[in-house]
Amino acid sequence: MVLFAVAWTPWGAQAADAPAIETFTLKNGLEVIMVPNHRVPAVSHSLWFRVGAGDEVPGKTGLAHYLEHMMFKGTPKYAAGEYARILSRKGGQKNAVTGYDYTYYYVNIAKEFLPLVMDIESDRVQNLAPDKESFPKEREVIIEERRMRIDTRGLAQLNEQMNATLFQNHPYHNPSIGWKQEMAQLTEADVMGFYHRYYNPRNAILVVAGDITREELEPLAEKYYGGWQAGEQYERHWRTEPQHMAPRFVELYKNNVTQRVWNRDYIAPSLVDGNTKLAVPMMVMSQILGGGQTSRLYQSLVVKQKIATSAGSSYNPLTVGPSQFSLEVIPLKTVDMSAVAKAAEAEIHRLATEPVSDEELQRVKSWMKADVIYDRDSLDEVAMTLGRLRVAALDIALYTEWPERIEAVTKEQIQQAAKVIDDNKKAVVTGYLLDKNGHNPEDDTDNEEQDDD
Amino acid sequence: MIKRALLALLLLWLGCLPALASGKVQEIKTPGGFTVWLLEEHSLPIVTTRILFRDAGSAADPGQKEGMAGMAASILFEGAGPYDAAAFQRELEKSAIRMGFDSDEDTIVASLESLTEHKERAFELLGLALTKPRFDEDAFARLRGRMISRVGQLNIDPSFIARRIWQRQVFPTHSYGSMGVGTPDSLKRIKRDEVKDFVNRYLTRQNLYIGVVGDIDAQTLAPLIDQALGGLPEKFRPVAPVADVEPATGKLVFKRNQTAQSVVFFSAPGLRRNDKDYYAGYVLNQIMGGGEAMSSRLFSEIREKRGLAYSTSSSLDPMLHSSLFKGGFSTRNNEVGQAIDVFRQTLAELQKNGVTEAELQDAKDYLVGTFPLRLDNNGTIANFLVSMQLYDLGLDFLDKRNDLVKAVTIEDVNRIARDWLLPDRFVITVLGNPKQAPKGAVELK
Repeated sequence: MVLFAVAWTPWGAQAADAPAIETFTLKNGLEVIMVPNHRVPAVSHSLWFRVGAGDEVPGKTGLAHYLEHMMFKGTPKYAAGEYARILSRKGGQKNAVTGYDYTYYYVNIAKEFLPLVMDIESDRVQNLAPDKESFPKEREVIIEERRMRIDTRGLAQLNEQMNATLFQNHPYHNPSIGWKQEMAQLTEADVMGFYHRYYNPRNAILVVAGDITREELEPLAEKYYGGWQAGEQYERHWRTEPQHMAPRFVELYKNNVTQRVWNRDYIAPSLVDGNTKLAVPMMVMSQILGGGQTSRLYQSLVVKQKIATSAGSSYNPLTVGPSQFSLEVIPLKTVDMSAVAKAAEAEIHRLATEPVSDEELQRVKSWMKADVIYDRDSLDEVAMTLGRLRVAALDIALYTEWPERIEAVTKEQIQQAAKVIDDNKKAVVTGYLLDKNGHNPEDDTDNEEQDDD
Repeated sequence: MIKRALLALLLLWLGCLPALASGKVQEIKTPGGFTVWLLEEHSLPIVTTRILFRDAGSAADPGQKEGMAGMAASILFEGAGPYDAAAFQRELEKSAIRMGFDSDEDTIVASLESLTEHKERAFELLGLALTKPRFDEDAFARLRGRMISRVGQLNIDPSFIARRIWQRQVFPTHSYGSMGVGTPDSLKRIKRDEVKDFVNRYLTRQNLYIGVVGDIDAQTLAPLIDQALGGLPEKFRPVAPVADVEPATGKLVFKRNQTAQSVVFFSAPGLRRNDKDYYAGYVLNQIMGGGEAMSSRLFSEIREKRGLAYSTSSSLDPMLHSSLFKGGFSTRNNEVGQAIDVFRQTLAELQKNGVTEAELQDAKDYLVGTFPLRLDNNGTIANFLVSMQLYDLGLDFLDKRNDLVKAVTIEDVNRIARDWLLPDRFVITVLGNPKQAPKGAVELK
């Protein structure tokens, strides 16, 4: 039964053409969001769970992602191969993603097959039953995936080490794909335990975008998902960060690094964690500081001082836990890493102490506000953003009113956001990717992955 | 009476149009003599443009100067007309205009996206970039530095290293055998005036194709195109034409590299884009290694059944001057020998015994069913519009394409498998650190 239905007409100045996003919640707690887009006769069906790598217990990292893989391995109604085959036959594109805060499964398909997709998806979130043999086999696959994504990539290894160093207690300190030695020990019981505990409608959101109306969607959602047992609402109690006492450094030496990399990550507020009022200003600040070639970092370090070939910053405001404000600089060969740090810090300090110009502010706002329109040039882009908002328990209005939120950011707020970073001397990690050759060798880290398991 | 009959015919015809594209692709000839393919789409206030320059890609890089085409493309973003690099980029940002220049082995493509309200400014700035690039000294030096950095970073990526080896093995003497990103040495050899000369010779009226999708009509578009591109050089003057080339065949090559996985790339000659059997080859590839469907032969044998790799796929990759069936997989070092055996057996089985009716139907259904999903955005459609012109596929290709796939028979597919998927024709390159080199491999030092 539908508890309530709310419709927004968003998009500010583009309201005349705007789709009306609607939402309703089933009795079992499943939140349903509808994003109309009648451009092509297709729909995007994505099911999001408010549970991810961050919810793994110590010693069992990689479990959320392992379950994501096993979700493709069959139910009594749809055997493992069948699931993929049926959807492909109907021209469905499908995939899944595991993050720290969420896991989602999506299928994009011609509109007429939405009932079929709902039948299949509602089945596997309730009745998953893979064959015993498929568990160890898929465990090998995820270990290969880890090798491909991380163990063979210097920058990815650096990033993994930096995360593990920056977060001293929070689950974000583990890699979301898992530590390899723990992945290798995960069992069928672990996977099914995680599934049964967390995969229920109280912890889930269904987003359907595309050639759909509320009149069509409501009865379908009720028919296929209405019978899903409510289960227990999962309340997160993540370990939190203690007060950070000292800045940290990670030096990663790899073979044949002819191009060093300088990275820095600061703990930062998000739209959910810490000083949330600063999150939107921090997005604008990041764009000004390091959002591209017109940015402060690029113009100063690359163009004027000529100490780097590229320089930029990035910031994700959508984390449920503490976020990170990140800097990346690719320094020239002869430049000292401490000079890079000084130059980057000087730009942050400038932003913290001097207001930006009118021209700069207007230009960056204009650029960022247009995102909501460009996002609509896609079957599922808007749906993905709304899913990310809702798994963080954020209001959809944040996205639908995005242009207004950006426009409202003041020069003072930008300075405040920069000051938070400028003042942060301790909850921070700096990482270098360096050439091993000529350096005192310890273990041959490039051979680490030989001949185990 | 005639009018009514015509109207009835028109309505009948319109009623028969599949709902694939929201309208029909129009070919426009502007007063200034440009041909533009336009698909109007008024549901969004966005105008999207692609301008493709044929034979302006890295295959045209002069010997010892790999990276030239890449530089030529990238320098266009670094200042034009009265604007130096930073000023030009600020002009784009303040009107939320998204502009980019990319190159591959065969082409340079200019991409432009703007909101409707800024479309005039967008075309104006694109025209400046293409007809009046500044080639400022400092911008050029910065660009070169950036490209050298990039290669430096790529050079520690086993996937890149493996690809470079594979590419040279497949095209030992042809310029298709070098990487478009260049090397630090080749990039250092390229002079600013040479890039300027490349732009004048290779970005011309004679070798361009234009595709536009979005909130604009022909009447509004034509003068914007003429104003923007009228200043382009008339004649396409390549230094030397790129020759057609047959890929090398029948190799197993190994290079030792201390990495956590062995990276395998494979390829064999493939069907050219205009081959009458192209779609049979395309469907065959979907069965062999079409990645997304998770049900291809390679996915099934290498990943599903044996857990040997996380990703494995293949594609039919037609180029302007050659074509390849190609793909790869990454696997544990000490299982790469086994993985290669499984790969060869999978090929041999396909080549000898062909595909099943069920497989054929599944592949066709997938390709047909997912096609409309790809047309959900302006950019993909605009890319189609330029490649449709490049390969002479016809104005109505978007509507015809699914029929071409549906028309493929099992006899067609099995014939292509038999004639093209001979396991011994494949070039297989392996980069990794297994205890022993794969059996029968030539080891590169």
